[in-house]
Amino acid sequence: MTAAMQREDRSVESLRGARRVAVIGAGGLGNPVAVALAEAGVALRLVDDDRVELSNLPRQVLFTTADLGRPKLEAARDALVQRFGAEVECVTGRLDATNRDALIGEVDLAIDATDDPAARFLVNDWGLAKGRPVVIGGVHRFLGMVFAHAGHGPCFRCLFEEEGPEVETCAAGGVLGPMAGWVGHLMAERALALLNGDRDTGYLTTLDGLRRRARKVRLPDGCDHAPVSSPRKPMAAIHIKIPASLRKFVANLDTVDVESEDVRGALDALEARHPGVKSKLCDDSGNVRRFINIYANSEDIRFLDNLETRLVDGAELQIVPAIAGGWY
Amino acid sequence: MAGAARVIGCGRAAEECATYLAAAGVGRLVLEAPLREALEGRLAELNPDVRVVDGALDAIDVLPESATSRADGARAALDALVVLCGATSPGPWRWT
Ligand SMILES: [Zn+2]
Repeated sequence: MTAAMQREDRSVESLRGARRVAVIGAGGLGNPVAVALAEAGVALRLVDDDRVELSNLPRQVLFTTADLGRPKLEAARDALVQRFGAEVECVTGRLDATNRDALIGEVDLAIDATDDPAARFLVNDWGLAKGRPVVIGGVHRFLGMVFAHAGHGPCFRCLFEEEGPEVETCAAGGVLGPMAGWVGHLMAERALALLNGDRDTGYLTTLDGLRRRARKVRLPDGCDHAPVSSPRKPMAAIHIKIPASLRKFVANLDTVDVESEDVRGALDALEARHPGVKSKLCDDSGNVRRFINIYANSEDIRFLDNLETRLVDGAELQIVPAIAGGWY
Repeated sequence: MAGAARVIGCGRAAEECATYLAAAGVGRLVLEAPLREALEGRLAELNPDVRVVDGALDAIDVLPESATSRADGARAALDALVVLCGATSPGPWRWT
């Protein structure tokens, strides 16, 4: 850090430790978003399932040639910890309607940095369902956009129809690196403003990097999307009991609470929370390993419906290794 | 990419600007000494083809001194790339 940056520090409002933000996507938009939030002291929950490729490097500036082939989550976390001492939680996965809440998690604000049209609506709806703010961004060649809502309408659905013509995504359309960087930093600025209590939302910012034009387009008040925003009914709360030998894979917890309606979903939610742990329980084809026993409310799931065993609210899922050693 | 850019300043805007110019492949960068010291290693890892040089007669100046945020820095890098690619003769930014 240069002396000039240290002087600037005095004017950067610190949110260290106070706020947790989910950043969906660790690519061209997610990189600058994560940098700006980490620098402001926000705890990050990064969600992504991609690996670093050579073609990413011109616009994904957290990564270097040494990161090629690594999961983006790992490479981003290492860079953010090294540069800013950031608190970073990594969640491996791609957002869809079935895993939305599990992947986004319990955060104060969610940012869609995937530049994927479907993910924008999922993040938008999560914010409406939880009453929490979201920021959504997009970039295509020299054009960019930033939108935010504060947990209520006007929302992203007030602007765009989900079943519209196919929108070219960032990866497909080609993106100029600094354009993604600029949009990403503006997204982070909106997020920090929202976390600091700013409630001036309900407008879309459009950016044209070639014509050097930025526009603020205000939406009319009102939004009737909130009542239908939740993609499914709330799921059962499941308590997963972790044996001592597996706790190192789940941040030393003895119980992990997840939401699911069956055993398979509970294990997926566990994996989303603590990436890597499922491979200790299930083999490559997804079946429970022979030396692992799983009990749903004290019943061995092999004598029930195995991974499809339904779970009721408050159910206890106990994981018991049959033999010790040799599997981690 | 042929061409060179001189990044003015040593703050966050300058750091972000230089980072995006290097990643985009601007071949030669002129940086002020403190920023060069802090950033040269990372820029080499980011894009081994970029050279940080003491000076370049053909370098365009990038970044107004008033710029302080990383957003300003990325936008200045964008403006510089537009100029270096000869895409247009950019006028001032308009916010409406
Ligand atoms: Zn709406």
